[in-house]
Amino acid sequence: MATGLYPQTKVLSKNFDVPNAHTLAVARPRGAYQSLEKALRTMTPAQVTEEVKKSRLRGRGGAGFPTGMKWSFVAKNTGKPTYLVMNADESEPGAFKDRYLMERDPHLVVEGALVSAYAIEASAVFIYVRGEYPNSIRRLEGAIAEARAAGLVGKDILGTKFSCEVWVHPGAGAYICGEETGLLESLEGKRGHPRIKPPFPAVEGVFRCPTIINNVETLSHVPWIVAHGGEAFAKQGIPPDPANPRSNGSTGTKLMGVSGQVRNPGLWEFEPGITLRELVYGYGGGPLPGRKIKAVIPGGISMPVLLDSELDVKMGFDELVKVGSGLGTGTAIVMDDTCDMVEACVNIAHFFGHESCGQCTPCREGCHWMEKVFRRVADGDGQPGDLDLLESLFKGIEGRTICFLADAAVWPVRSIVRKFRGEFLAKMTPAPTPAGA
Amino acid sequence: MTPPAVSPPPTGGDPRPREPRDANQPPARGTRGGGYAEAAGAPAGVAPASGPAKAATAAGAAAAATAPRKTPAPAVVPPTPVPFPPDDLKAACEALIARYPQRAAALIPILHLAQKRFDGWISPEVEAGVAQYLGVSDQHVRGVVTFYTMFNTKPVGRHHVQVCRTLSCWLRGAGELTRCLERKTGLRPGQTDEARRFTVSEVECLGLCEVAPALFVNEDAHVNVTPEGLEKLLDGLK
Ligand SMILES: Cc1cc2nc3c(=O)[nH]c(=O)nc-3n(C[C@H](O)[C@H](O)[C@H](O)COP(=O)(O)O)c2cc1C
Ligand code: SF4
Ligand code: FES
Repeated sequence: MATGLYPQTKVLSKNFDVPNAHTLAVARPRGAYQSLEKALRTMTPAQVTEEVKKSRLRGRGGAGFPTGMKWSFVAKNTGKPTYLVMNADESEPGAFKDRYLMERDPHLVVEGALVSAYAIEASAVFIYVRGEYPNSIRRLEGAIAEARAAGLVGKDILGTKFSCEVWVHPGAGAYICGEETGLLESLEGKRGHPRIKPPFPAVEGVFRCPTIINNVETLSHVPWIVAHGGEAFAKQGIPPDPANPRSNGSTGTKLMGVSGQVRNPGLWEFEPGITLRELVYGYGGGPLPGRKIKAVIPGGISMPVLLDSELDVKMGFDELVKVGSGLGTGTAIVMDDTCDMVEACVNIAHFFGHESCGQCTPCREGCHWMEKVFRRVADGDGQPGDLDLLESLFKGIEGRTICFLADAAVWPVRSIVRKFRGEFLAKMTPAPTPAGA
Repeated sequence: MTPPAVSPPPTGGDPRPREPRDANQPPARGTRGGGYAEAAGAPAGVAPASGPAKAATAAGAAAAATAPRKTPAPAVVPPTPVPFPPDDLKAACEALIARYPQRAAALIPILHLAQKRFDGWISPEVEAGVAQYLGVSDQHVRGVVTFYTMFNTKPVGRHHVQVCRTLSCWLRGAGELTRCLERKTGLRPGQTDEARRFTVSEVECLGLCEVAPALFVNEDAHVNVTPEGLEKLLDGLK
């Protein structure tokens, strides 16, 4: 980049490179649990929620829902306990950001959980970590044990009247348990079948009690917001669109990563004003030697692809929607000119077919159909009309199911079919057959 | 012209596209619902002694599709539950149960403990033991065990090599790793050798995409793996 790299802003990642930052002995002198102390001693739960609302913090799990607003939906005076669930399932392909938080700064994660639990007056936090993250599970359990011994978790935290337990609950290998209601079912010891909403979890969630579910990264922002105020957070990143009263912008910082066919895959933290091009070429190092970038999924695998010519877009929630994609998890996957886009579709469709929980017919059957049609096109057995068949499959799957997995299965492959139609057609040109065959 | 392996979704009749099924291949990893059907008749995931399966011809597959089932369905004998929890797991299991307002919520963490303790897989007997302990039906436990990929429903090798096949790893050569594994061990994804040294699996994204391609051997992650590196790694695993 001729103009120099877009600057990093290390808020969540400030301890990532500090040796032993996962121990309380290192983390506490660096500020861990000061926000918890501030919240418990000087603020009411409603005041914490108010700061989070002012911050315009939006969920980092993929959907970008305003966190403060979600918290305000929690049913009060039900006579039942309220639970906070931290979504650390992180099974989205291409996403690895929550792993950095849990492994490198688990006390920040625990503090975020506790402050947020205080805000919604929860009596326990369950951190649902995917089973394939044994190191994250160990680090979190270690951090919780240290915090418990220091009077930061459990009964009468820091000598106040606030009591809250924090438990790590391991998953066992299922992408769908990242979907919030699939996660709740799994937490109850069942197959991860997403629930029909309503009732929403804030009213009836895990164990039929009011429950708030947030992503790890979302809640890890809360200590900073409590320390510096919601308005300071809202000053970072992309402000809301003044022309649209319902817009929330993309405030604060965001962990962003790049994987796939680039020179320098990795994870960084920025204010969302950075463009996808700066992320992929500047930090990701651009294409491998002698190659060209062909397509990029901005966040995870579940969003439509963007072409190399479309990368000058800011990494904000609304900005990416405007160009027909989405921020998702903020971790981009890059495909270069050696990548066969039809095979990429086979790969993506296989993932969703494998991960479908099987409750809805369009998803359970449709994902496999898509894979099989992609497979035969890739193998040169494509039939005339296969592209129309695919379009009809997309229509039959999208928007017809209990959860968004099915939509997520359609979006990336549909964008590839439309943007790389030529590659599909080239494979479908009938090869000359010997006479009489 | 040979008929295409997959026909388009037909408008009437059975709506599922059928693929020729090779009996020597592991069951397709499809929708999470294999249940008992997946286990029925499968020789415990052990690769046949005849070596790598040969590809089914279209004709052979067509015959197989119409031929009657050779093995009659085995008589259903309810498994004898193992005593659960064994003494060494009692304290851990009780601590887990105490975390939740409902006993059954401890099922998944307890299955993890059980799998480690009982030879790396969850047998029907272990399932029944866990079910009794938690006060849920055997079927409930079976449903959970078959839903989650980390629970093994068949015995596995001492070294369970799990190669990520998802997009970021695939873009960086995961396919070569699977082929290298097959060359070195003779095993395809889903298979275990007779000496139970290795089990080979293809898994979905492990969350190590920035250091792709990635694989797990049991619980240990290996990243930026090259075929040469993999060969060395395998040689070191006894
Ligand atoms: C199929 C599917 C998978 C998901 N996986 C995850 C995940 O792994 N981690 C996550 O935080 N959110 C995931 N989500 C989003 C959650 O449903 C939910 O929106 C999120 O946890 C809410 O937290 P947030 O508001 O803090 O983003 C997934 C959603 C769907 C539909
Ligand atoms: S859309 Fe798919 S994953 Fe979601 S509930 Fe339906 S079948 Fe399950
Ligand atoms: S795609 Fe292989 S670890 Fe994520």
